[in-house]
Amino acid sequence: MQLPREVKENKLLLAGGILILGFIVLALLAPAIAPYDPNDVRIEDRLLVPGEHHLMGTDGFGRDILSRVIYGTRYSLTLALVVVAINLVLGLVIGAVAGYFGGLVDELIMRIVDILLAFPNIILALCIVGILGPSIQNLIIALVALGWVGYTRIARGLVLSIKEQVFVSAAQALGGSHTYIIARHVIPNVVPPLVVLATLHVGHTILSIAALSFLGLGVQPPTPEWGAMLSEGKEFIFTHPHVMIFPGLAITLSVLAFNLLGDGLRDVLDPRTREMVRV
Amino acid sequence: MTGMIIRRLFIAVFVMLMASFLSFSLLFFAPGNPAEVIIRQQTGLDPTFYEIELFMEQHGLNRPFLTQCSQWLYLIARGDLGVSLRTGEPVLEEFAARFGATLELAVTAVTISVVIALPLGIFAARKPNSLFDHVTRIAALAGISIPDFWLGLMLMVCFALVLGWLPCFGYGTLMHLILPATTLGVGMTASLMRLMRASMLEVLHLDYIKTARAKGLRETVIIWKHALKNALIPVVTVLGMQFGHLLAGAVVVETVFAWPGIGKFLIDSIYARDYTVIQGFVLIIAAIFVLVNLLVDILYAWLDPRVRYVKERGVNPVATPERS
Amino acid sequence: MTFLHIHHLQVYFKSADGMVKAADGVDLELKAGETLALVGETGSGKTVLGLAITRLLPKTAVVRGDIWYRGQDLLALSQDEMRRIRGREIAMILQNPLSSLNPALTIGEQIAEALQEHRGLKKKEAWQKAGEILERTGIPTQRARNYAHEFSGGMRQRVMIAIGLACEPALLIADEPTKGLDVTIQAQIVALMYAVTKGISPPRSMLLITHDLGVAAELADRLAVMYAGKIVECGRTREIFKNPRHPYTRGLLDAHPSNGLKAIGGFSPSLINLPPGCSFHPRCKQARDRCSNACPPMKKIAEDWEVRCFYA
Repeated sequence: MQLPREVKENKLLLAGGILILGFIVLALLAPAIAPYDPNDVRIEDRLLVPGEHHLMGTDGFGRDILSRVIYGTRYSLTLALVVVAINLVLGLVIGAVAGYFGGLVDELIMRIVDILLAFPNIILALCIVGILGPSIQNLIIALVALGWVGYTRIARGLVLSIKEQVFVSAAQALGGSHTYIIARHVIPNVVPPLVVLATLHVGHTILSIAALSFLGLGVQPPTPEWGAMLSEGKEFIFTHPHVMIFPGLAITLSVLAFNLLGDGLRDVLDPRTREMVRV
Repeated sequence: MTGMIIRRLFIAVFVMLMASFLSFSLLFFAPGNPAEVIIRQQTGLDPTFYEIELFMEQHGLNRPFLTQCSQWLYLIARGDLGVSLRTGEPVLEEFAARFGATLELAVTAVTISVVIALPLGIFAARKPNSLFDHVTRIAALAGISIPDFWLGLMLMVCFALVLGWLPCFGYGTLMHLILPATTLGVGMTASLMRLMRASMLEVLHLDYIKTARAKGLRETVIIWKHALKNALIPVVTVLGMQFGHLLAGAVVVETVFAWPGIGKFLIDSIYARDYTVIQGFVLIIAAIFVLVNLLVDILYAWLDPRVRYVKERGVNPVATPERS
Repeated sequence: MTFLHIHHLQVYFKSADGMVKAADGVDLELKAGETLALVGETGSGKTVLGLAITRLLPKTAVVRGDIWYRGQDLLALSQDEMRRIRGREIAMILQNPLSSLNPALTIGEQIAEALQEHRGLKKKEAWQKAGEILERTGIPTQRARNYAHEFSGGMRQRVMIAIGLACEPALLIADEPTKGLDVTIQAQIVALMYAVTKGISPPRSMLLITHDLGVAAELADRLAVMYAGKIVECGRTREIFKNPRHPYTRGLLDAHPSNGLKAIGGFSPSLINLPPGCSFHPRCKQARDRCSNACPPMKKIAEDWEVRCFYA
């Protein structure tokens, strides 16, 4: 595959990219790779320590942990990507509106964004799920309620700078409606940097989802989502700690993968002015 | 600078109004009739139709939405956030009683983070791409990737169970504080270190550092006086924003370690469907937020003379420094 | 013993596309009390020379040769020894006063600290002295408590000069002190520079790096013209202006507005892929075969006048 040299040389990007690819493969090929059915309850085999039949041992219901971890990839990744995608779109639209129309609309939106920017998403998410009831839909709603805010600020900035450029005035001169201009000219130029931001957020989102599920407010057992698995395994922590080790490691690794990717992307995109010297 | 403060206060009030409105509306999104839910909470029995009607009459729940809303706003203004459905105590009091514990945890975690992360970041920036730098960067990357609740549990297994050095749960002594504070602090230390390093590296490449070198100043003076003062600016702002993450982390950590702070109480209230507490806490947290934001803004203005200048005179600040 | 003697200086930078030869065998002499202007286009290597003398080049630079200052080879000194010379004996006034001043410290502080470091003054004395220096450079003493962004471009340049003068250095290296300033302000700065070099007794030595021939004409006793990392002509300012011998120098003078603004054809060469032979030959009207085959050495054509050209 033809990649720019900078991409190939950046170890972070490579490491992150490979790991993520690995997770995606696991997610897609789960039924083929997992040795057991993740929901197969076998009480007689419960709480087995990692051994030859069960590489990661079994949980409180006798289910094979390795299989559950592999299937868990599907839930964590998909959910995180869905949430991030929605946040991106929402943030993009709201930011674009703010930047494009300017004036009072802009001022108002940005003031709200300023304050919301640092508000802990999780706390509100907890409360929303707490009130609406735990389910996947509510989880998504909860995480999206404040999640779009980070993208808005950047989207608005980009839109402002693009607005000044000639091709937008040209489109306006040709009589394009506002919606048309935003959709065809502004947005395609704003999306790429936001995607970079999104990569950095996926890791954080995976952590949020896991945390909420751990608290019983996200994905519900018996679904093999990593956070939910940790929630179930909580009661065995002192007697059979192995139940908790592997799902936690899985979370850490997947988040690490996205963070590596995000860091690598940031390095690559940063203009290499440091090596230039003015003569 | 007073002009800026007043403007911020206005916005703060506006935001609080919005937050109040939203938190009040939350209850109306709950599945089922709020009255039914509350009665079931309090009595533990399924309410009859009559009981529901009576309750709604008594508490004015059958009045139009906006009327109830303004009633809520009026009560808040008087400091009355309602009563917990579980304990029967005023929500505000429940919060106040436990806030100290959370503060203790948070302050310890922040102190540990700052003390460890800032120097590490500075030293890493002094010798970029050295072994020290690589090791700390990887450690920091791992630090922000670990789920805090899992870390807490793993630490518990390790130090309390296996080694028996520290207690797992509870509150009271310094020993009880160590594990939760460390758990909370890890993520923060990691991200702070990364930020400090990045900020320092940026500053060290700027032209005015070259001037300082041309003057023949010592390296220590250049780093700790010239570079640091500028490099700290973005770090401080982030510290203020980290406050939010701190609170979020506290919720989880308190639950894991059974630390009697507002986080644990909130979770317990959520499990118990104690709606008044949920509503009230959201509001209080929003208020604290707004306050902290304001303080950070002020601190930022004090640190960066250029910002002070802008706010006071409404003039455009000078162009950002160029890299050399 | 010459005051400053740069001997066969080579400064190369490794880059992704090859070796950048910013300075390729530079020989230069400066006498005590004299002002030498180093003139050339942007990208000719002038600033690099200044940075090489003060050893402020990035670690990626490869430096060969010697730089003799009052009998000491600056390139052979330890980091600490060099640090003590910087600011105290040799002061470099960097370009871009806009970004070269620390925005978080008052300008008074930035002057005082040099005094505290090199002259061992206590804080109070240092501040007092700083105020005096500011007055000398035309800035009211009270403004020592102000920050860089509170000054205009011309004032900031004065601050940079004040910082340079703080410890009364024997050698001042001024890098483009008039760049980006209004013509009237430029005149003021030039007057100031004259006052602090020739206006004192004994006069202070200065290496003036500039692309502005007018400024060079007013301040410099001698002129060194630099092209593509090499000195192509070096001699007394007045003589060179009257009758420039190197084609490039002639071109520079002809390009001046008062002489008709005639441009030199062609483009500045890349410092990575220099033309073979004489670096200027592709743009030279008098170029002959010999010029593309060999690089001309510096030829002495008169007392204190050297030219790097076969046919000068």
